[in-house]
Amino acid sequence: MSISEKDIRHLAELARIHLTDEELLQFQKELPSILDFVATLQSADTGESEAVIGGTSAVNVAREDAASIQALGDPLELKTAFLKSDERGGLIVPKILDYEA
Amino acid sequence: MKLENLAIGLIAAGLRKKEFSAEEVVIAYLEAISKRDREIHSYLFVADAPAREAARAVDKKISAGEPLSALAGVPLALKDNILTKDLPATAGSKILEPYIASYDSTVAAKLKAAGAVILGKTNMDEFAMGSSTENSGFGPTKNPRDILRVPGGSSGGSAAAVAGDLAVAALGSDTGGSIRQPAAFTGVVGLKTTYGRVSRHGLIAMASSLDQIGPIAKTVEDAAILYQAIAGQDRYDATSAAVPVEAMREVPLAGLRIGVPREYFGAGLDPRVAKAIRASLNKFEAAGAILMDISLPHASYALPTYYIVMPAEVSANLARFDGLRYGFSASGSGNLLQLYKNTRDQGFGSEPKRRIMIGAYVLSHGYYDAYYLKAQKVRRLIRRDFENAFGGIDVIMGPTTPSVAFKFGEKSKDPLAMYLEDVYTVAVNLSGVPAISIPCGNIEEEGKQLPVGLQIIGSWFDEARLLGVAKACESTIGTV
Repeated sequence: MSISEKDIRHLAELARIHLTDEELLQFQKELPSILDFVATLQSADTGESEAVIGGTSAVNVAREDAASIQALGDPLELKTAFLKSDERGGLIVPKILDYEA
Repeated sequence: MKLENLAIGLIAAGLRKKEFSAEEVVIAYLEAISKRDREIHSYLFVADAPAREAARAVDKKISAGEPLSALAGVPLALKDNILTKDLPATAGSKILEPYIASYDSTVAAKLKAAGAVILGKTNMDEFAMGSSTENSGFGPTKNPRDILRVPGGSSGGSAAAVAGDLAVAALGSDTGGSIRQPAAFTGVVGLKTTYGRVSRHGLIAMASSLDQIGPIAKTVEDAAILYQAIAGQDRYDATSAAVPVEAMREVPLAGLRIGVPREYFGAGLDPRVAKAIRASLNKFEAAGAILMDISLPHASYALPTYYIVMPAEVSANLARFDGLRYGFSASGSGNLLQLYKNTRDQGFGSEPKRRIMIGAYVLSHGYYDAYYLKAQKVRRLIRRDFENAFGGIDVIMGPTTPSVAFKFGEKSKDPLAMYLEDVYTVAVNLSGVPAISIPCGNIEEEGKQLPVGLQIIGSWFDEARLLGVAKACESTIGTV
């Protein structure tokens, strides 16, 4: 398989890594052979095999997944912590990232 | 009396009989390090003053006639991804160069409570990614058996420190073979514990469904002592299991059912390594063990499965190194996104970048099902292979590595060639079972004796028997 320069740039973007031109060439050469190698898995007959999640068969003990307004604190208090809210009552928080897709 | 190659039991006895003091033992090691580690480079940081202080505290207890714990005055080395309060913890990466641990990992706390003296932090492949220490951000470690060769990795510094008499024993971490492979390459003992057996609280995470901490030591006996000191459930690690920790059991070889997987003796295995392993198996058979030909049908899928699951977890775990929370931060970055990107570009070496990007790829929309989900399904089958095998046998044996220690530069230019080093070790991590590597002979090359490692795989949480089997094998193989 081959990976385009655009794909490598996109992966680097997802990984939050700035790549030099040299690194870009290096990864464009190396990643396809690694991905070809792991793609040999496609020939495995997984039938009804259930995916493993995590390294243990232990089960999480958690409270029921129900919304609790108490957990979020007093909504009025939250609202006054920010200067602006939109017309639906949502809070407008300060911008953190400028993301160029 | 040479103090820098004593077993833990002999140190304990010598201290109690007042043949030497704990401070004398520590000084002997610190002097050996300052003399010989310039060449080997097993340590990234030597904790000179705290080590002397810890030894003096043990001596004070001895002169006060207080009872001593199992590891009192025993000088140990810790891999640099294991946090030890007030000492650096770089995980072999420039991105953590200025980072000092603000708390003790559970294993470090347990070792300190048992009276151990922490000599320092050992070199490793960056974030435990590699099989040679050539990926360390601070230069490679050399193999004490032949300094032209790698010590293996990623716990290469810990293995070299033990093999080179620069620590009595050490801790490493094993995600795909990182304790067993360097133990094999340097001729020492390395135990990868059952997933959930040892707390990872304070271990810098690489792949959380695979990582385990374990001991590297000169003998099985020493590895067993260290294992007992660090194992057990921990409230700070939710994946640690509530399974009681048992001491090493005595296991006679007579009647022991040893499964020998035919898949572990196929193409890619150095015939000289195969011969050494077969010779050991024959000795065990002569001692009354029963060799059973078994099959682990999905063995060939273990490596590709590992190189999907591990990078996926790496890409998530290493997201936290962003220039804000820990260690290095790139200067002159305009906005936050630029700060992230520049910090990660300058701070990470090639291997973490490569794996983070592969992880991002296999988790992306459109590839997730074909790669990640498929791998997790195959992982179930690999685990089932072991479940089926352990129905009729006690332990599995085979080579730890396909070859003996290779030379610097031999594989570092080709990432895939390096990945193949893990071919016999990764299935163990994917399944969560424990495994130990013990030395089982040498192969002579260019006038040097290069050790071969025998891998013994046990069933889940069966370390007490696994260690007992390893000890019986160790004495049957004899001194090599």
